Formats: sequence, C-alpha cells, structure tokens
Amino acid sequence: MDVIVCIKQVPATTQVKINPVTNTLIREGVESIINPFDLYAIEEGVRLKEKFGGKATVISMGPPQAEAALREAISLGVDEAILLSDRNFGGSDTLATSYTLARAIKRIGEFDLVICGKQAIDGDTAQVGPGIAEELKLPCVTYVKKISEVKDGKMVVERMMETGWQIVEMELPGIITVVKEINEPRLPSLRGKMRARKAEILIWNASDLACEMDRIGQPGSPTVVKRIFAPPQKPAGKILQGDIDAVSQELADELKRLGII
Amino acid sequence: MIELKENFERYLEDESSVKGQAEKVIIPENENEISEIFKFSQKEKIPVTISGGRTGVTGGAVPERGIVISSEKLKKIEFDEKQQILKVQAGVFLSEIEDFLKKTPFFYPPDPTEKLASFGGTVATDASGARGFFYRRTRNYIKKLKVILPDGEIFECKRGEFIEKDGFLKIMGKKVPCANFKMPDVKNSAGYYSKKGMDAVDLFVGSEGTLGFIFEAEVKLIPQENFTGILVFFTDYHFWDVLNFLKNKKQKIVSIEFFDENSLKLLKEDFPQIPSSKSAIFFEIKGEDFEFVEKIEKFKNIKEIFVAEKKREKEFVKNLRHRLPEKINEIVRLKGFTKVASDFAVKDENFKEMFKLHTKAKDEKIPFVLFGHIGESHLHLNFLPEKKEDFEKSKVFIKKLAQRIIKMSGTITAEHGVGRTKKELFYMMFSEKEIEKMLLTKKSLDRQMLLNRGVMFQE
Ligand SMILES: Cc1cc2nc3c(=O)[nH]c(=O)nc-3n(C[C@H](O)[C@H](O)[C@H](O)COP(=O)(O)OP(=O)(O)OC[C@H]3O[C@@H](n4cnc5c(N)ncnc54)[C@H](O)[C@@H]3O)c2cc1C
Ligand SMILES: Cc1cc2nc3c(=O)[nH]c(=O)nc-3n(C[C@H](O)[C@H](O)[C@H](O)COP(=O)(O)OP(=O)(O)OC[C@H]3O[C@@H](n4cnc5c(N)ncnc54)[C@H](O)[C@@H]3O)c2cc1C
Repeated sequence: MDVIVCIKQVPATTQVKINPVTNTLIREGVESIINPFDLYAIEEGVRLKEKFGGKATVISMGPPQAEAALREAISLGVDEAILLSDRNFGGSDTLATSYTLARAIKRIGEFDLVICGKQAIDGDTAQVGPGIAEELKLPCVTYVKKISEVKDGKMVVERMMETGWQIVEMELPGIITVVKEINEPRLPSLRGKMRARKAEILIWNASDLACEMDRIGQPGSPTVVKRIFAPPQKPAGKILQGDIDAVSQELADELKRLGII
Repeated sequence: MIELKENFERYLEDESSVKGQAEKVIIPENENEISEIFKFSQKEKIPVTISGGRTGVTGGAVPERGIVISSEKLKKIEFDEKQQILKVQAGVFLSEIEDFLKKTPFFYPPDPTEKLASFGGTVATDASGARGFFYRRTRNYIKKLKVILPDGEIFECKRGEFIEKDGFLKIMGKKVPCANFKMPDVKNSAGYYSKKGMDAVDLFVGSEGTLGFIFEAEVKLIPQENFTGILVFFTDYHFWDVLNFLKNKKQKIVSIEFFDENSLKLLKEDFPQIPSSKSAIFFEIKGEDFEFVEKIEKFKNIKEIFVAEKKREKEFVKNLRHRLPEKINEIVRLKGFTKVASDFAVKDENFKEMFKLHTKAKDEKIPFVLFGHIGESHLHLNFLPEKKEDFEKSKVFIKKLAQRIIKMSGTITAEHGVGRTKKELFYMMFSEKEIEKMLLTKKSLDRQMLLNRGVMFQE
C-alpha cells in the first residue's frame, strides 16, 4: 500500500502573532514543529506501510526551513520526503495550497491513500485535505479515528462525529484526514534519527510540478483576508479552595454579585 | 490564617496510603502565625504535624492526632538574578519553581519525579531525583534557611554561620548535640545528617520536619542546560556493560535509571509505543551528542534506542518516568494495602549483589516491579500484593532484604525518608546508641516530642 502523507510545519504555539500591516502570521522567534495532527497522519501512514508493505512518502509545502519537519517525519519511519518550495508559492491560501499539493501528488503518481491531519493549528481551516480531494477528484473522508479494514481496493473507516461515529466504506485511492484518536505516534528510534540526518530531501518547485502560474501563490488565492485577529482571551477561571461551607458561601456571594442568582 | 475543623480528609493521608487523624488543620500565611501555633502546642502539649504537598510515600505528613499545619499558602518566590539565588517559601510546588525559572536563563537541579511536591517538603526530606547522579540532592543547593523551631523561635541560618563544635551546634541559645555518629557512605535519607564540622543548615535539611518548620530557603541556581534523554531497551537483563560504560563518563552523564520487565509491562498499558523488552536503561547527557549515543548501539542485546531531544519527545519521556511510581501507588491503593517497597542504596562495588538480591523477589510469586536510580546504586522494589497473605509475605521479604543491605553498610532509605512506615527498618539500621544520640538531638529542640510525633522515632 503506497501512502502519501501531507504535513505542515507550524509555530509551536496557538498564540500566533499577526502582523497588523500585512495581516500575515509572524513566524520569527517561535519554535517550529510538525502540526500535531500531522504526527498522527504520519504514524498511520507508517503503520499501513508496515502492515501491507509499500512505501510512505511525506510532502510539505513551505519555506526551506520546513525541511526540518520532513526530516523528523523520516525519523518516524517515512521512506521519502519531498519539499515543495518556491518563491512563487508564497501567499497561497487554502485553494492554492490544495492545488499545489495536488500537483505534487500527481507527480508522485502511484499511490493508494493520501493522509492529512484534521486541521493545522495555525491556519485552522481544515480545508486543505478536502481541497486536494476536489482537485484530484478523489473520495475524501474527514475526521477519521480508525481504519478498520483495507480490502480489494476499498477501505472501511470510522469517522468521528459529535455524538458518535460513522462507519464509512470508501474507494481507493482516496483521501482521509485524521484525528488524534486514531493512534499513538511513536518515539523516533536512534536509527530513525540517524537515517533522518543523512536522508536526501527532494525539493520540487513550480516548474517541476508544471503548475499553472495563475493557480499558485498570491495570484492563485482568491481569498481576501479582511482582518485576522486572535480572539480575546477569556479571563482565567477562579478556583475556590478551602472549607466546604466557607467555599459554598463564597460561591453564592460571587454568583449574587454577578447577578446570576 | 485559616482554620479547618471538619472536611479535611485530604490532610489525613499522603501517597503511602497510611491514614491518620487530627482535630484541626491550620493554614498559616506567615512565620509569626506558625510560631504562635508552635508555642500553643508546647504549652497545651498538643502534637503538631507539618503537611506539605503530601506526595511523601512514607507517611511523614500523616497526623496521628492534634493539629496539622499546612504550608499551602506560603507561596512567595523571589529571584535575585545577580546572585543567581532564588528565595522560595515552603508551599511553592516544584512545578511552580520550574515554571518560574523558564523565564530566566537558570535552573534548579534537584528533580524528584513528583512535581507537586512542596518545596518545604523537598527540603525536609532532602529530596533528590534522577539527575542526582550528577547534581546530587537538595541539600547541595540550600544556601540559607528560615526555620520555625518547635518552641516557636524563628531561626535564620546562612550556610557557614553555624558550625558544629565539640559535638554541638548552638542554635538560639540551645545546645544541640550533633555529628555524633557515622552516616553510611551511600546515597542516604535515613536519620539526621552527621559529620564533624557540619553546618546547621545540613541538620535541618532532611530532618523530615522533626526539628522545625522549614519556612523558606534560598537556593543556588545554575545556568540552564540542555539535556538529551536516551532510552535503551534490552532483549534481556544484560544491561551491565552499558551501565559500566555510562558510569565511567561522569562529566557527560547526568542520570542513569533502570526499569525491569514488569515496569515496562505496566508502562506499556499507558504508552503502547514502547517496545516489549526485558529491561531498559534511561540516561541523560548534557547537550546533544549523536556520536556518543551511537557508541551505545554497539553493545549487545539492544532491542531499540529512543532519543528524546525535541520538546515533544522529552515530554513523552518525562510522562513515562512519572507514570511508573504513580501507577504503582494507584494499584497499591486500589487493593487497599500500604506500599511495600525498598528504597535501598549501597556502595557501587556492592551494587551487583544488591541487584541480585532484589531480583529474588520473583521466587515469592507475588507481582512486583523493580526500577531505580542505578547510577547511584539505588533501587526501588515494589510489591503489588493482591491478598492479605501476600502483603504480609512481601513485608517479610523487604525486611530480610534490608538486613542484607545493612550488612553491606547500605541504607534502608536513599530518598523517601523514614517517615512512619520505615521506622522498623530504621531501628535495624542504626544501633540503639546511635538512635539514642539522634533522640538527644531531637529533644534538645523539642523536649516533649510534639512536632511530627511518630516520624522517625518509635514512642
Ligand atoms: C490570503 C491568504 C494568504 C496567506 N498567506 C500566507 C503566507 O504568505 N505564508 C504562509 O505561510 N501562509 C499563508 N497563508 C496561510 C495558508 O494558506 C494556510 O496556512 C494553508 O493554506 C493551510 O491551511 P490551514 O493552515 O488552514 O490548514 P488546514 O486545512 O487546517 O490543514 C489540514 C491538513 O492539510 C495538510 N496541509 C495543510 N497545509 C499544508 C502544507 N503547506 N503542506 C502540506 N500539507 C499541508 C496537513 O495535513 C494539515 O493537517 C495565507 C492564507 C490566506 C487565506
Ligand atoms: C509519583 C511519585 C514520585 C516520587 N519521586 C520522588 C523522587 O524522585 N525523589 C524523591 O526524593 N522523592 C520522591 N517522591 C517522594 C516525595 O515526592 C518527596 O519525598 C517530596 O520531597 C515530599 O514533598 P511533599 O511536599 O509532598 O511532602 P509531604 O509528603 O507533605 O511531607 C513529607 C515530610 O516532610 C515534612 N514536611 C513537609 N513540609 C515541611 C516543611 N515546610 N517544613 C518541615 N517539614 C516539612 C512532613 O511533615 C513529612 O514528614 C515521589 C513521590 C511520588 C508520589
């Protein structure tokens, strides 16, 4: 089973700062990590390949430093890593990102399954997985928490819902996006880390991918950002501690003060 | 100050499953209030028990009766960047010290696994952690102490100011006998510190709250270090070559820990990512050094090596290590027994023998786990008995084991302290005369034996 995993490098905090002039994320000075959901995507990809044989390839679109994320993916058991990097990719919205990733998947050619994370913790749109599927005209199941069967060009998965889960049978090749419930990502072994250090990371640019230039980067991004802002922080809750009677009284007083009772 | 007269069950136990009783719990906010409580206690002859984070595993903070004083409101931290000194009050959790220091280029090396231990509790038990192999223990970082003595006097002592002379320390007009017996020359938490020319600071550190309330202390900080953790899983019990190799690299290695097959099985329930294996060693090196880690690979019988260098990976190893003792305590509590465990240490040259003796536990046919800080020749054997009969059998095993350890001039407690649950072993380890000497020290400060009554000494 050949699997392609899409991963995004993100800042290691959900408290991203936004440049008020350009409305883009300020990434300087924040440690970069693999988008946490994508670790589960990697793990699932590696497990499928270990179980059924085949190859796991990881791709990421990003600046040159996203190479670190790709090396980490190799340390976790992925066979090959490709970085999609080109000045012309800059300023991509989710549509352009999906298109570019889809071009790369096309170029890879042979595959049975593409795995994405549920969403990226910085952009947070959860659009890229389905976007790739649309571009490649492939079936897509989001929020997958379990792959229960792979057989005869089909796959049965469990899809997390708010009140339970759906069991879905899908055709392969296809795309899934995964949630944290799907597995426990492994720790990289020493050998994995050594391999990651020495591994060669392929770099593909817009012409390697034969991209239509008006579909990538800024020109390919119809989204207009009116304003990006961090939601106002909720003030910290208050924990009342101590004697149960005193605490109950305090709670009642507080609720009265707030006009709730 | 707050006074609780009911609904204070949580103050009647710690992590040892020992249960206690008390009339009331007092939560003071400053040293004068503690002083008042102590004076009252002496006058009315009411025992007082000091309560910190209650993460202790030997019942030290569990009251027999009387008053409990909790340090939970003593939360101040002050930082003197120039002197690289941190002033910390008793009730601050280790996790809070850690968080506080994240904003600075410094760190506080003592690292007991349980981060919800109170600072005061770690001073009172002279706590040490895995990195004790390189950084030693709490006492090595205490520069100055403020102690409330049992009679209510407030004693401030800076290292170097109060030194033993002719077998005594002069403390607030009292002659306190000390330095009058020989401590074992191993990692040790049993009994008072005793050494010619010793400092008063060292008498209070590790005295398990029997000599006074540790109100606050100044600790020495050291520049932040980056550590890489390495977990080595073995296909059998032949970890000795790796251990010896690491022990000879003193300047590089900061910790060396061991996990047996049973520990790993328990951990695998919560961390399915770890491979099935017979034993494992976890060690940390200063900085990042792949060439060094690669040298480990050439040793025999290695199943897998994990390297934790990224934040996520370090977090994983930290959770893994903390989970083991926690899980053991949970299992023991669930079955309704108290902890039956060894906390023994010997000199390096006796370690192989001690290890062998510990593994004899399997002949008892009672579930157990074995792990420990083997860099310091220190092991924890924990029985997990399921029935009363096995509980009794495991106690006998630990007692017999203690006898052998004592014969090797080892200690019956290397880090957890004597508390209430290790008194019998404590009395085996020291002669009657030595215990009598420690009692004299205690009585010179607390004639009526009211403070932390029942800790260390039998009635
Ligand atoms: C107008 C506009 C301009 C922007 N300009 C910039 C810019 O200049 N620089 C910049 O860095 N970002 C920019 N962005 C943000 C960028 O478009 C998104 O970060 C990106 O499209 C992914 O969307 P998301 O973060 O919501 O991912 P989601 O859709 O939430 O991610 C879901 C999954 O898709 C996969 N995935 C997502 N992104 C990638 C990727 N890059 N490579 C591989 N797999 C991926 C992962 O598996 C991930 O778990 C811009 C966005 C807009 C709307
Ligand atoms: C999961 C787990 C892991 C652990 N790992 C380690 C470890 O790696 N290394 C280690 O050394 N210990 C370890 N311990 C034991 C325990 O955490 C330490 O002994 C710790 O120092 C106790 O601190 P505490 O605040 O919880 O003290 P408590 O349990 O509240 O009290 C311990 C003793 O100190 C006295 N005391 C508390 N505060 C004061 C004070 N302010 N002044 C005077 N006396 C006081 C108490 O009366 C009692 O005798 C572990 C415990 C658990 C549950």
